[in-house]
Amino acid sequence: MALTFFDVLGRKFVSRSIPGSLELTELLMVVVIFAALPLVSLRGEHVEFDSLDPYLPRWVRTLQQVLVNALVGVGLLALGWLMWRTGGDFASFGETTAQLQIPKYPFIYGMGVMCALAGLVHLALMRWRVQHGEEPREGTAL
Amino acid sequence: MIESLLGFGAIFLLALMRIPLAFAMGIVGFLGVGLTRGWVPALASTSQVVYETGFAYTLSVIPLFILMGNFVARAGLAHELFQAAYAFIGHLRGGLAHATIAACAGFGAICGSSIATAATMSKVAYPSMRDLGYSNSLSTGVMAAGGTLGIMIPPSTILVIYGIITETNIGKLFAAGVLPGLLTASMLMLAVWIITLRDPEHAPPGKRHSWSERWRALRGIWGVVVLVIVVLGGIYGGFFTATEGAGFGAAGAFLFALLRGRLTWPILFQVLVESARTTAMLFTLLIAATMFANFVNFTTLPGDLRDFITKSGLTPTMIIVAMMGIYVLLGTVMEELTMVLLTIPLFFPIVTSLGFDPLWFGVLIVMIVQIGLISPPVGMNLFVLNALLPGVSLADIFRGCWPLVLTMVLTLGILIAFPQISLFLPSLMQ
Amino acid sequence: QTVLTTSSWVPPTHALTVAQKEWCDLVEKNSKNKIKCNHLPRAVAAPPGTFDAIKNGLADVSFTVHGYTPGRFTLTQMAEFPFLGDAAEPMSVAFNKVAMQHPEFLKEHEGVKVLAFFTHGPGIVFNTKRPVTKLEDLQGLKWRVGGGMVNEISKTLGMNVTLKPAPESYELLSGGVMDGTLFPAESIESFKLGPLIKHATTFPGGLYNTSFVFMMNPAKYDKLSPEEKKAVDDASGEVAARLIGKHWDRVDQAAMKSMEANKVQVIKADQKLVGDVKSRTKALEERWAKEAEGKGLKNAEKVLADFRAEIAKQSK
Ligand code: NA
Ligand code: NA
Repeated sequence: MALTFFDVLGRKFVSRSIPGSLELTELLMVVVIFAALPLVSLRGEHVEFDSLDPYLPRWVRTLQQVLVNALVGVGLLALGWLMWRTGGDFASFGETTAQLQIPKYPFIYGMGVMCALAGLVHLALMRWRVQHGEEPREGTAL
Repeated sequence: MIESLLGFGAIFLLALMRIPLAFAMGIVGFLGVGLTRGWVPALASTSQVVYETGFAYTLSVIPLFILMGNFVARAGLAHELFQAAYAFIGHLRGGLAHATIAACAGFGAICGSSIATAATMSKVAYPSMRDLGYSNSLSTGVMAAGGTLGIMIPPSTILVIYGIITETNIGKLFAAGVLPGLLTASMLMLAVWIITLRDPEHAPPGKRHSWSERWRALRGIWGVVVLVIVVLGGIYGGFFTATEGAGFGAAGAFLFALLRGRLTWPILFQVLVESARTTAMLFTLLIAATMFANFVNFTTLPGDLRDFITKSGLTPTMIIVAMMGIYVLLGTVMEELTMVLLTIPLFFPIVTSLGFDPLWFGVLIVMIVQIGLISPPVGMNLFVLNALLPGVSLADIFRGCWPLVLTMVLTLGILIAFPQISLFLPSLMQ
Repeated sequence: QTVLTTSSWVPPTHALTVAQKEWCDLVEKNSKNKIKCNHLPRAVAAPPGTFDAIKNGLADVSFTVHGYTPGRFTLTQMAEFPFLGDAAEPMSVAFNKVAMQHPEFLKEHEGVKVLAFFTHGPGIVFNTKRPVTKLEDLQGLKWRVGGGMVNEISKTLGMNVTLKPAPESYELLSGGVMDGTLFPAESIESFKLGPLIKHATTFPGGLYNTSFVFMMNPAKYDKLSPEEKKAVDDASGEVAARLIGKHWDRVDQAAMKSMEANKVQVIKADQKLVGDVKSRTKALEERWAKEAEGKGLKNAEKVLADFRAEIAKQSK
């Protein structure tokens, strides 16, 4: 999965005028981002406003974790369903990329599957957090 | 107007309940579009935003710069940078603190992340400062503040995100960040000089290096110099676009890490997965911010806000100063990426309608983020240092960064007063 | 009162946004102020997503380029061939007329109400390096092109092309990443490329064109009262095609003037070059005819010939 990054990189580095390198970059990016989504969920790396945490009693935080994970999990499952449906639309139109004419719908089905998987991760975490509490997080984006 | 204010309120409320920001914005955006346009359009819009953000070529600049930063951190280039700076100015009073700031600026020129810069420096510079007897407050303050140079001196994740959501040219934004970054570095050094002048106990002088040692140390940083010239020179010189520059930089940083023998298969795998995770996290935020912006687009808010401001009788500069004041205050308690993503769709149209340059506003936003990252009580750089240096108390870190926060606020004032500092280099790119 | 929400993915001053506003004003007048437009400050979707955005009712009225969604539209590529016409207005009117005569065109647009088909002005070859007078010159430089038939045309001519969105042109050309671009004159003005471009080569009737559709959400249309429907209908079809074409032509002319001011060397392609292009792109027309017939359009070659004849008639 992550090695696709390499493809992007090699393609960029070796030649900039490979026909369709732009499209491949886009497709690979879609694969990388959505494949990593369940991992982000698993490690609780989504940006959250946690400044209130020190002021809340432990049971409130546990309850909060359960509710939040339930909501996010259901939301992601719904998004997965929506993207799967969109993938079906793309399959029926036969829309392709412009240069290489790669059909787009398998990638959109993939988006749907990964969103749903991330949703399942949150639902699983909902149970797990109750038993184990939470992990410390650190942001890396900024 | 009312609908979108309710929307903003709802996001804050959801975020306070610790719902991840991306989901808070996404849910409110979805409900907002659903209520104003109908549910079929809302569903269609959601899938469209997800699909379009995923397939957006220009966004590939984000994973590539993140990858570049992660490889650079693994290649150990930061160590050489610090050694070179130490060799030249380490013998002065507070010399190691100055050297840390200089090394941060150099590292910032290849790494786009403030937190990564601070974290890397904590491994490289902190041991030397501790051994020389520097106070914990000064050394951590300098690392935290110096680390923020990572996002002002290009490349910069925050400038890329700003460029994408405001449709501003990323190459030019990068050019705009160079002088303000150097100015910030100089201001921080000035602050260190004043601190150590008033209280020499903070920072005993280090060892003086011979010129031959200095040249040898300088040779150690050729790798950094080459990367900076290739990537930034290539973008400014028009050899390639920001996205392609990021691709080259990532490949270059990979080669460095490889040549230095710092890459094993597990480390490589770790770097790739880590970069992919960070990218995925940022993309969920971008998707959600777009969903929310789509909702705001259907409301009358942008127009109403503009009318309100034109009727308020404030001069454009006063409005900018007021905005920055709000940002600095918000930045003390809020996570900065949240703050920027939430407010840009609201503030940016006002700023451009007042006739200000989007490049300049981008630089101000970065400065705001820099300040927020090191202003207690909620400052991500401070938390990272606290996590990485278990021997230093958070109170020490807080104490050390206050003077530097004030210095950066002063720098922000200078950047507002003299837009030329930000706009000079981009103007050469025409 | 009925409100039509319009969306535009080009800047507020662009010919298309201005034309769309003017269309709204016309509808407003036709309906005796029963219909009003709400022009959104930002586009509801990126250009390729606009068709679906209208279909799904995210906005009520907008326009899109067929070539932005490769694989979805075949028949409309008819309006993208070389040597069609020298101005957007007659081409748009003829395109709209011929396409509306054949229900197969509307069938490709299932899910939206087509208000009008239209094209931009003649496609021109612009570059920053050297005068392009023969086929080899075209083959020796690096070009940015948009999607659709222009992509096929340039490939057939052996050009070294990269597909990039139009708004990125400035960065690509100013940086020297690309040497030139294929555009109607108008885009040189709209994307502020005037100072960069050194050479232009024009072809009689244009080297290529781009087919657009101006459309409305069908559910919104169905909800209108009979009078309101009439107000929309009266402003659509040929009226809209003509209106938009006029705006393209206006900016095309201004662009040619400013090219003069910027001392751009404008070359008219000679007979040899035109002949070379013609002989190579002939096969594209044949291929299109086959694909179009596969999609149910009978006598595709004749439809194309009718289209050319109609342009000639409208151009008089
Ligand atoms: Na940087
Ligand atoms: Na903060």
